[in-house]
Amino acid sequence: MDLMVVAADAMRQDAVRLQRIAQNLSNALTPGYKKQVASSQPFGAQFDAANAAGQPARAGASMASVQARLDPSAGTLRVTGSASDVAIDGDGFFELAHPSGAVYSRRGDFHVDANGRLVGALGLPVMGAGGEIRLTAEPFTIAANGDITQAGAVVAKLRTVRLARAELLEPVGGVYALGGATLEDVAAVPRLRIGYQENSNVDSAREMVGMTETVRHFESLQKLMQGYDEVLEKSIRKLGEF
Amino acid sequence: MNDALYIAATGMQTQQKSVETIANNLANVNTPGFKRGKVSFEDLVYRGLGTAPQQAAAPALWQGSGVGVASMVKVFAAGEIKKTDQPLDLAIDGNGFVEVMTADGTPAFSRGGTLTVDRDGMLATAEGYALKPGIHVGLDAEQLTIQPDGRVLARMTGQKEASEVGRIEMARFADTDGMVALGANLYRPSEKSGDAIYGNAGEDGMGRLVQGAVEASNVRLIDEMVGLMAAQRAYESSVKVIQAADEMLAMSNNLRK
Repeated sequence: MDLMVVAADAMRQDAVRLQRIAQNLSNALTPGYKKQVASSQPFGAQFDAANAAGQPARAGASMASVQARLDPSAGTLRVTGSASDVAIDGDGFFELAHPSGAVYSRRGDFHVDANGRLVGALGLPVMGAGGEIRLTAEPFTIAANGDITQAGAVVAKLRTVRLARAELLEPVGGVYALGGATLEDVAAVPRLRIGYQENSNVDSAREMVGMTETVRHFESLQKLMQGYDEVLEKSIRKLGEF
Repeated sequence: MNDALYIAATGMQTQQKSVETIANNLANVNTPGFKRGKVSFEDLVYRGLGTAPQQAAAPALWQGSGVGVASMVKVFAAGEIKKTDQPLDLAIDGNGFVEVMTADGTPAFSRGGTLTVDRDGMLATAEGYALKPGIHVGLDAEQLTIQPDGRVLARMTGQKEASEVGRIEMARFADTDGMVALGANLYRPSEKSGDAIYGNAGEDGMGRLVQGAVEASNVRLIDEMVGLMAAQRAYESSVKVIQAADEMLAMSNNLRK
């Protein structure tokens, strides 16, 4: 009956894969969204990993072998013309203050809230070189090096960080917690583009292909199970004849 | 598997909101003083789907729950100021607002437009909301001049010189985008926008008053059309996901013939 177990596991994996595609496609227009890619480990690697951990390896895929990781690659930039929209040209993330600690995002549609703080996604305060950025009600401008100018004077500087292993960032919704990623270069100043917004990096054509592939794979597993079921039925019937 | 259905449904709902906003923007493309609405999206909460104990270094499997509307705001970018040469047309060249008195006494703020003199002789908006503080022009004023700094001068019948009858006070907000639209070119402050900061026209970023002009809507047709196409295609892709999830569910049901 191992074959049934293997096929059922693989079908569950396909379902997870489809969820990820649904997540990516529904966020195709979310600014700064980073797509998630699912990958399965081949049996050999699973066997080795289980062996190394001293656990019995069993045939077949298992749910634990599906891995999700973030694709931190940059999305395309879109002109918005709004002076408070900032996009990062190249590597780097903005740092925002979340109640549970620092979070990171490449989404740069900032505005000033009623308390005078510069805030980004989810209304979280944007971090400057010296903590939260507080502005007065005067109009402000952001320069390509992150300097925020108000009434002719530089009042703050946006804090941008470069992360190593950014694919291990942990999604929180709108922003990313550090997760397995590490801060690499805190003082790095990427070039900022003012009046631009970063699109999501979801490629809908690729997602559609993935979806077709997933559905067909699921279908072939269904056929496999049905075929195996028939074989079982036949052998039981034949055995009954004796 | 059902999760894919629900995730895709959030995609359809948010794109629907986006199309509704675009429809409202397009419908008001020629409304003086209209400020376009903007919907922005955000991916919703994530939850872990179980970790791989034998691969401690491997990332956990995160599953999102779709997309949601992060904010629906008005974009207060300036519209083009169009000259009309009507003495009662008033545009604001800047970020300020003019406060008016609404029927229920709550403060509301206007971006100008066509003014009238109501039956009490007070300067009011076209909908009949008197400006605050009240400016009594009188019913027999022949000529009305609104200076860029807000001073209102009226020349009465039989008089040679115009005299100052009041001054239009301006207000602005820490976060203009946080204001709530009431319709009819009126806005109400919210917790997000903060309280009104009062001042004179032409000072501290209030903007200057322009008599004989109206502010055109800030809707840009091409941007709206592109947004409409993007929203429609995104909606379509969510529909396809729902179809795929449905197909896979049907196949699971057919495992047992």
